Amino acid sequence: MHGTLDIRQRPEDHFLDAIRDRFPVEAEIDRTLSRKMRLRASGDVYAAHSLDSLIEGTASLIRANVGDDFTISNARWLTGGASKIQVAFELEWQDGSARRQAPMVLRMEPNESVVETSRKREFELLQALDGVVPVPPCFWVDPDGEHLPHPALIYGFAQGVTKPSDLPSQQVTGIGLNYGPKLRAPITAQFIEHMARFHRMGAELAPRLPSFDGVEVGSNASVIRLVNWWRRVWEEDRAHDEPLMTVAYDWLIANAPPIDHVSLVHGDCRAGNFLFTEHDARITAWLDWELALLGDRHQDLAWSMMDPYSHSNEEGTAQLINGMLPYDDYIAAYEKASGLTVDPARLAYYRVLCSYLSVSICLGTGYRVAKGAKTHQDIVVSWLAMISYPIMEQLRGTLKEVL
Amino acid sequence: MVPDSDLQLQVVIKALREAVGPAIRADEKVAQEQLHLSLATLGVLRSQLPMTRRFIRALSSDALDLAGKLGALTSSQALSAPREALEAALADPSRENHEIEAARSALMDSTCALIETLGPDLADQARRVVIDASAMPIERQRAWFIGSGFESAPDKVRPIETLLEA
Repeated sequence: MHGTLDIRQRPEDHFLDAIRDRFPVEAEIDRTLSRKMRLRASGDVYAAHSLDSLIEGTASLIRANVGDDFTISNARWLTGGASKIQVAFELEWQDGSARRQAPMVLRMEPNESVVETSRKREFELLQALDGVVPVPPCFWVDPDGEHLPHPALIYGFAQGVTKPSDLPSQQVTGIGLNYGPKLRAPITAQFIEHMARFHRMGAELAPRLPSFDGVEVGSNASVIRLVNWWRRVWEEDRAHDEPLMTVAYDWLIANAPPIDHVSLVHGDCRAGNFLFTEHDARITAWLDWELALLGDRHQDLAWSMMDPYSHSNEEGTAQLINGMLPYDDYIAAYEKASGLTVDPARLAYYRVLCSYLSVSICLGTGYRVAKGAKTHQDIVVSWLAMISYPIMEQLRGTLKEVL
Repeated sequence: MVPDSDLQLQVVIKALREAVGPAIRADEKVAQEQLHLSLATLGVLRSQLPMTRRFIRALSSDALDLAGKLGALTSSQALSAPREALEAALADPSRENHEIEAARSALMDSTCALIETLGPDLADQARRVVIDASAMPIERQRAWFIGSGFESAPDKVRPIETLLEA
């Protein structure tokens, strides 16, 4: 910005208040986004945390939950993902009458993240999903950064990889990854079965998710809240406005479809966001639930069907959606597994919405986080901002089709 | 100019790749990943640098084109001042790139503000104008960042050199 005033870099209360009034969102999301803006207003910048200081905070959180009888060893940084600070360690502790030992992961927010989300929601969700689909066991949460520098949670280390180990690393965050012909079929079958399962169970899981606002069948209020979530993020974080984003927002509000079935929506449902063991091609843990919400299954479907996550098959005869199946086969497999229909009109709506929120994240928050030097991974989020333009073309193309 | 910007970037890339990279332990995954992205970012930047001025001018031209079309559609004068400011910045060779970018940003913000004030009839027409007029700037930016590897079908995007002549 070269010296010009940028209100978003040091936002004042009136700026935040106006955005909150104009774009109402879920209560916990409002709390999380408002916290981000107030922290930004304070001028707080990222300072590298030492491993020792984070282990000290981790010990404080564990002590508050299990007492003094525990030991932490072999602490080390974990890479992967574009948003959170992660540390792996071994924990031995007294769990009631049993002595337990397990590999653990600390997952903590940086000052600002490319997606600003609630650890409280993530904690509730991982607990609710235990036994539903494979997820890492989640042990303790520090929702307000009482023990650690920022909100954090501790979960069990899950075995597995996010991509085949013989696949050379080409891109950040697993975008466009190719499982190869041997792993593809078994991974695809489990992916679709698991997605179908948590989509069916939204209403059943809702009572165990107190930090999630309710969703009503027949109403589009939750969809409008969701659109407003990403408009609010765009308003808080962007460099300059984009006419295509303004047009997309207006269309999304005017055409928000009522919910026909309450699903648990993962929010970042795609290849690369689960672990699997290579020797038996078994999905061992679904990851990155921070964007999860109660809503419409078509959101996850549309997200997993975004252009950057697809690639051509080995014969060059078909584009594999989510690196898994051709378009029609993907839809058919989902309908069979879930017993739920896929409505093309809703799918198109959520394709617009997913494109919109992706641009908001990558071009809006990605820019703002890197600009403010807010994370341990500024170079990753800055790199990620470059994906915004193929996604904007997807947004433009889909809008042109639906108008 | 010796050393020029391209040479400076060339030597930095070489130093990072040949001296710094091998000195990082294989198990330092975060440092390895960030070095990889640093080299990739510098490579993208090096290819872009000679065309930066033309690229900024092309995006400014796109913003003026859209503003002109919306101005004609709505008969509004709301975009006159920011359009004139951008045109003035483009006409003045002493203006730095960031000054042109600031003027373009101001026009984009004003364009969005105008769209938000439109009634239903004009809004629908404005949507179509925006969608059509956005094709060129989006393709230019996709081509500009093609080195990121995010395009699932990169051969479908025209080369940036072609798009800057369009």
